[in-house]
Amino acid sequence: MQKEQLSDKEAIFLIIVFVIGSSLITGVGGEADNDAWIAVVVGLIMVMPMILVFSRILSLFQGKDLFDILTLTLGKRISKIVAIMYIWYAFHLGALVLRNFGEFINIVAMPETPMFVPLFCLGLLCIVAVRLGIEVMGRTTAYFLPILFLIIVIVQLLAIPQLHLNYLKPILGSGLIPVLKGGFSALSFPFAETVLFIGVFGSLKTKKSPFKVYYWGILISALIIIITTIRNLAVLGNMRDSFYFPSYAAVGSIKIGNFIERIEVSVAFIFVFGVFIKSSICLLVACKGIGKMFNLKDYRSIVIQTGLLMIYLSYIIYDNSMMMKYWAFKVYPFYAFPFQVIIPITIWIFAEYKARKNKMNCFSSKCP
Amino acid sequence: MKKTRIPLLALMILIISTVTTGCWNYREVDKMSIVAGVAVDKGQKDKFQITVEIIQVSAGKDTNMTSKTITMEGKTMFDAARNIISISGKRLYWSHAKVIILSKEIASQGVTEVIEWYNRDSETREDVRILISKGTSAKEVFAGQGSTDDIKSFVLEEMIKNQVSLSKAPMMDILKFNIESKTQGISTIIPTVNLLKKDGKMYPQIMGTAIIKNDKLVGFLDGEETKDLTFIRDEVKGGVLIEEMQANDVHTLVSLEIFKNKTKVTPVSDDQDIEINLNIDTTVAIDEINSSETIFNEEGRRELEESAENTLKERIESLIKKIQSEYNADIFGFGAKLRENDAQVWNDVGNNWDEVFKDLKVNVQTAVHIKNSAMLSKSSKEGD
Repeated sequence: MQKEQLSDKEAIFLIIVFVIGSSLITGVGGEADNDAWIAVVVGLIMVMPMILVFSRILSLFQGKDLFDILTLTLGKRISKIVAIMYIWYAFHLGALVLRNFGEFINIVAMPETPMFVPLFCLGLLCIVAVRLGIEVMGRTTAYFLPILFLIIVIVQLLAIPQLHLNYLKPILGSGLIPVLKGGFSALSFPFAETVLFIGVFGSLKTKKSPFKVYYWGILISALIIIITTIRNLAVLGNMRDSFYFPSYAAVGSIKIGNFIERIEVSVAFIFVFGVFIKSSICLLVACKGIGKMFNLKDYRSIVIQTGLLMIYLSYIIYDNSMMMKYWAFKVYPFYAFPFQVIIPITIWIFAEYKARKNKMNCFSSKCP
Repeated sequence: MKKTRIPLLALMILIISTVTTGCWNYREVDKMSIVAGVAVDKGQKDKFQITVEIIQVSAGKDTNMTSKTITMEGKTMFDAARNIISISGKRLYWSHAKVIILSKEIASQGVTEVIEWYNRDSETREDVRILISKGTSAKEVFAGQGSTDDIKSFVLEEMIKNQVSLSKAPMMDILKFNIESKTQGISTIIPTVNLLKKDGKMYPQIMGTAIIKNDKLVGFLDGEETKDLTFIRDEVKGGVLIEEMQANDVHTLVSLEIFKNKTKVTPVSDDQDIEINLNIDTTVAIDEINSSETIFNEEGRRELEESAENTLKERIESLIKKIQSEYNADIFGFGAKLRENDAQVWNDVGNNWDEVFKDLKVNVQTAVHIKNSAMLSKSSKEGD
């Protein structure tokens, strides 16, 4: 079988959609109230060193994915444990994201439909996408992203009459601490979640620096998130944090003339596509990990099983949406911290050490 | 491969066409009652008595839209809203509701508990306008006569929308109300509606403001005072200023149409003293005049501008005095402005803002510019 390949552009697009997908609608940095947009900037600054770490790991082991790298750096036994942890993280994150979508549909559009139905529909789509492989997902994203951009820009422009920029004031009114807290939560959701791309970018076409891909992907998506956060704040003011889906509520208040109104479905479109890509990536990484664990030839044979399990997990993971909000903003940053920061840094230190120790032994597949 | 393809395709079409026939819980238009507006009164038995105005579409040569009202009581808003099914037989559809009218009694008990459900439910929308019925009960507003449309809620909404060229009632929807009532240092306002008796018929009229302090109705302002209030809140988009003139010993009135207004509120604080500087900059046009030529020369114009400035200043100052002494509710949002500009000072005084506001010194500066005199360059009346 031919090796799957991903061009730089597609990889950047994947990162953008992965990052903005669910965060655009659930909102980022809720702790910081009307300084949430500053919290996003803080989160962006915080994630920059992590990007360096991620891309350094990737360029040390060109053409390898996360689970190969684990084996190469940490040895057989420990790497198995860490690999299980990452499989769980990817699997769990995919379920969380799916559940976000389910809650969204259930609260906003179809309150009487059992939540399992939207979860199952989207989960099925993810299974199909992952079976088709990363290459297909990359191209799909490259096809859809311009449409998403167009929607975001148009909605942004239409919202201008509703903006009250004085809602953003006072800037840093309650001090730095809430902003830092919000920044930390913005780091874990959504920026540093891109750690999962270490498991995907083994198939990058150009073997140069994955840093470029990470850098541009994160930067563009952060810009989009900052702009939408400012818009949500300027439209909803201090009510922003009360909404589960602030973007949806903010866009819902757009009213131009008597005919351009109730266009919040456009936001739902972005959300659906973002969730689709995000949980597909998670599922892909989880399947790849499981495949490597059991020395399978191809991860595709276990996609359906893992995917269905993911759907079930997402169905039972929360009792209600209050729990979702509590988990996403209060627990998740601390839960995800080891996966996003501690373990990657450990891997990186080990990798540098090994690379220095046996300089003639090159790990990358391209080496002679 | 080719043999299996056609049955497979047929199977796919069959599955898709049976599965995607519609939403899970879809509702036909004729199976629901579309709500145009809702009025909330204090109930006799239960806490809330709500009256909904329902749109009735009758087909015929022309589609006719009329409305009818249903009244029902309930322990909560949602309870009452669902109790209506027991009369109407159809479930109500809330997304198209335009206005929510609160009676005076229920608003003095608390506004938030009435609109909380409206704010939370996913079918209702945040852009619905709030009104307080001043003279009568809320439900009687729907019993009045619609002057332009049969559906009273739509008429009311038009009235609120077109306040931009009248400025005698503020704009307030649920979202804005919530934001303002959550903001520290500002008391909210709600436009009032009352019934006007004309030729034996009752017409609803939107004019004036209800003052909400700490979520409870405390008082009313009339239309003229509301105009001054919107000046301070920087919400003036249009309207008329009437100016008395003394020209050639003849007493005359001049109408000035407001085109643009910019109000700047700057809190100044040193140590414990807080003052508010209020700069109002208005551009107007002479739209009606009944005097001789004097007004059209430089001197006369300057005189008119000055006298308009003074009148506006006096009126605004007296309104601020009145609010400070009678209601002590910061409906101008001076506190919120202070918080926006200087959070540190606000942290010191915010807790007893009521007392600070009571004796707050406000320096009013007004500037009126006349930009033109509409279509005519001279007075219509010949000077003698």
